[in-house]
Amino acid sequence: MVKLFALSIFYKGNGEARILKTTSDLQSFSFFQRGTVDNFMTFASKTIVERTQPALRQSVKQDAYMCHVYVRSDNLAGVLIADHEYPNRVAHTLITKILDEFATKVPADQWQNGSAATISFDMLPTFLAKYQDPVEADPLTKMQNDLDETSIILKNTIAAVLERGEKLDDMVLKSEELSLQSKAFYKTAKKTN
Amino acid sequence: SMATAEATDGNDAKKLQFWKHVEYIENHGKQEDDYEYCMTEFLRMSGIYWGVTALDIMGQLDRLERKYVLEFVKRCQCPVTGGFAPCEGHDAHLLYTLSAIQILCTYDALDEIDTDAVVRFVVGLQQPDGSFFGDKWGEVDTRFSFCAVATLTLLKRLEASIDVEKAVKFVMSCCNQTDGGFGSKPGAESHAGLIYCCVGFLSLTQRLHLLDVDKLGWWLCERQLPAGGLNGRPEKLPDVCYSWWVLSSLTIMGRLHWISSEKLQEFILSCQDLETGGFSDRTGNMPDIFHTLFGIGGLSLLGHGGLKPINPTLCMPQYIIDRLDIHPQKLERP
Amino acid sequence: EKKVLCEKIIRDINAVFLRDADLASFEIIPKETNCNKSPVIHVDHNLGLESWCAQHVYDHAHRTLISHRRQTCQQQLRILQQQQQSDTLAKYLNVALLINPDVTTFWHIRRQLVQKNRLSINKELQFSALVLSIKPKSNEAFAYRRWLYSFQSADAIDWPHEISICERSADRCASNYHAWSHRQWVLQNAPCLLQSELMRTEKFMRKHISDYSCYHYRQVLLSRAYELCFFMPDKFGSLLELFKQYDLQVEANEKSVFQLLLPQINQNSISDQRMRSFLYCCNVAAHDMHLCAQQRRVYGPRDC
Ligand SMILES: CC(C)=CCC/C(C)=C/CC/C(C)=C/CC/C(C)=C/COP(=O)(O)OP(=O)(O)O
Repeated sequence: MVKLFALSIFYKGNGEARILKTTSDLQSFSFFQRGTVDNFMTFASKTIVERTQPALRQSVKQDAYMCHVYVRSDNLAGVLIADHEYPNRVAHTLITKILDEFATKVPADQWQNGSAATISFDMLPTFLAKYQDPVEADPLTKMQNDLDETSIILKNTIAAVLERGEKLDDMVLKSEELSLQSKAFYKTAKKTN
Repeated sequence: SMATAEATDGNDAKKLQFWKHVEYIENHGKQEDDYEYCMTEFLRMSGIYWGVTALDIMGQLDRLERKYVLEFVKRCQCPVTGGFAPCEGHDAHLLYTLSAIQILCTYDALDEIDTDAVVRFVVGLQQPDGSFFGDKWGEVDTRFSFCAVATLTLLKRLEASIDVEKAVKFVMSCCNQTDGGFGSKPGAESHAGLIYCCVGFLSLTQRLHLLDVDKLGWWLCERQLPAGGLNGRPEKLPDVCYSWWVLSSLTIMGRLHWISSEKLQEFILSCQDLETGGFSDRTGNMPDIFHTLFGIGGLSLLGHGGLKPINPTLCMPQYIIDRLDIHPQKLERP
Repeated sequence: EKKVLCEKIIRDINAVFLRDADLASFEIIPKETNCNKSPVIHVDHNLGLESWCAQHVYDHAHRTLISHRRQTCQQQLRILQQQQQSDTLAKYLNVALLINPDVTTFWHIRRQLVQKNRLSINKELQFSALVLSIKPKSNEAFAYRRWLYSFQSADAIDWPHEISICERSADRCASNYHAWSHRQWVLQNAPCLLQSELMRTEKFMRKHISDYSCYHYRQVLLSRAYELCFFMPDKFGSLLELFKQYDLQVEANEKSVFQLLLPQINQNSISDQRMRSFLYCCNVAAHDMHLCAQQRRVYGPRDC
């Protein structure tokens, strides 16, 4: 399915990534799942930003999802979670654009200690909606010039992004950002698979 | 040492875990208070057919208690309609009637039930356009056409019971011109499971000449994916059960050599559960009895050692079909 | 004790059914332990059941229904005929089918209750839609809907609503065989939907790029359009563009385009309608070819 789920902006400090703004479209998930899905998407986004070097682009596949990340050299980072059928190139074009917009609208001195509550920037939902259809959002010719697709590092699972010794299961278990319900959900999802 | 342990593990995955599967099937019926067992009660009769057939193909039929199985089957025949229910308390349906008759044939026990009543049940479900209802509630599907003729064939009552000509006409009306395949109803999308049903149906009614073998054969071998496994429709994931639906159809049409046997065999074997035995739909998933039969059946069609030959049309051991003196049509390899 | 608990949960679920006539979805919420709160959760027309109890509740409902089935025919009939008794039966049926929609026999009991006027057709349509919210691939639920509609006259049926149920189910499950077959059945009964169906499926194809079932349905739509002599006043632009790709020169009028496509056919021997419908269908096909080419450019070749 060609679909975008979540778009977020982070600031990558030393070690920790700080979420500055986020939006999501989870209508395609069942009602009671939406909360946990949202929770997981934020968790995955943050985790991947923290494990991506500045000035790098990555696209990480996990099941049917793709997590696209770009960390700029000034440590501003954008994450887009999409269905795996959404074209990688357009995903990264969107991230680049939204980070450019953010950088012009929000002064750099607010990045390091900012949060969703303190920063005013309301373009994420509009972008997420507009880019749902990649053909309409970004006419083909323009896309091709915009971005060199070979610069995107592709990874096959979230596990492939983790550092030596890190295990996803442990991280989920220990995470303070994930609710108890999300953890239960993760366990059941693993079992039924 | 670690290194040798790993090496054997790697090899295990490439070899048929014969005894583990036997054990898996043997234990399957014993978990009666299992939730999974309760959830699948509505198809129990087919479940038993899958287990019985897989064990027989492996030469281990005596692992099940014949008397116990036959008592169960007999209890499921509906005294009113003559058809078989999947389990006591459920309603009779063509799907479970075929499974019941297959089990009885395997045990050479047809004389223990009222076969006339079964014939009446099947005949009563044929419609004026030749199609078959699955039961009295009126759902039509090419699966039911197959179940009807397969049941009657095993009972040796195909001729002089239903209108075969009309039944053929209905099945052919479900053939799609673009790919030569068949769907569940006229106009419905081609699907490997239903292609098996329709090709099997034409094999039982001796009408394989009605197939566009080249076109259909081509579509069927396009079902093989680069990793070796087969899917049932374009753009879908591979699944062990399609090793049966696709492979048996190709075998009936004399075109088994159109796919890569080695790669398929590798895929099927990769779906074994090395711990518990049994096969799953895809590598790494939970095994079940349905995929276990079709994994074993697929391997038998591919000529894997240690397995008895299986009849591609009826999905039963060939020696039983021979014993019944039944001869489903099969095309020669060109 | 477990029995008492299951009875209570089933009663709670039943209460939600009675209270909320517009239930839109059901799901099982992963939760491994009983926290001494009701596991039945009802928010905004959505019904959830916590996973720890699903197994027990199903087991209990299943047992009750099967023991009903094992009674003599007369006893069964008596139960079906008494409103209060059949209400009780319906309560177990709801829970059992929401948790395990594959059990044909349970759907049959509902059919019997409908026949005895113990369940209303409209409520049953709603219930089967609820089942489709948790299992969009349920052939039993689709077949049940077709059966229910057999009691209504075709012009009293809300066909667009039926299409939206198909579409929702196809949206949630790629290549949903039964949803697309059901949609063909709807189209067969309501050919007036042709035009809107052509538009809706194009939108669907743009979003579900590898859902072959939709492509198959498009083929069905086209042959149906031709069969019904359907056309829309159209300038057959896609067809002309296709000709250009093959370096074929043709004037942009019906007669010349038709002549190019079917040179052996005597144009006077066929009706104007037939000709226009033929050209219209060819044009949609050409349009779809362009669409596929575009999808390939945007999304790259598909690998399975
Ligand atoms: C004697 C034997 C072996 C069988 C009896 C005959 C029967 C019942 C064959 C069934 C063949 C079969 C698998 C039919 C498929 C029916 C169908 C249209 C399934 C589509 O449902 P999905 O859940 O979408 O399945 P896929 O995703 O695998 O396509």
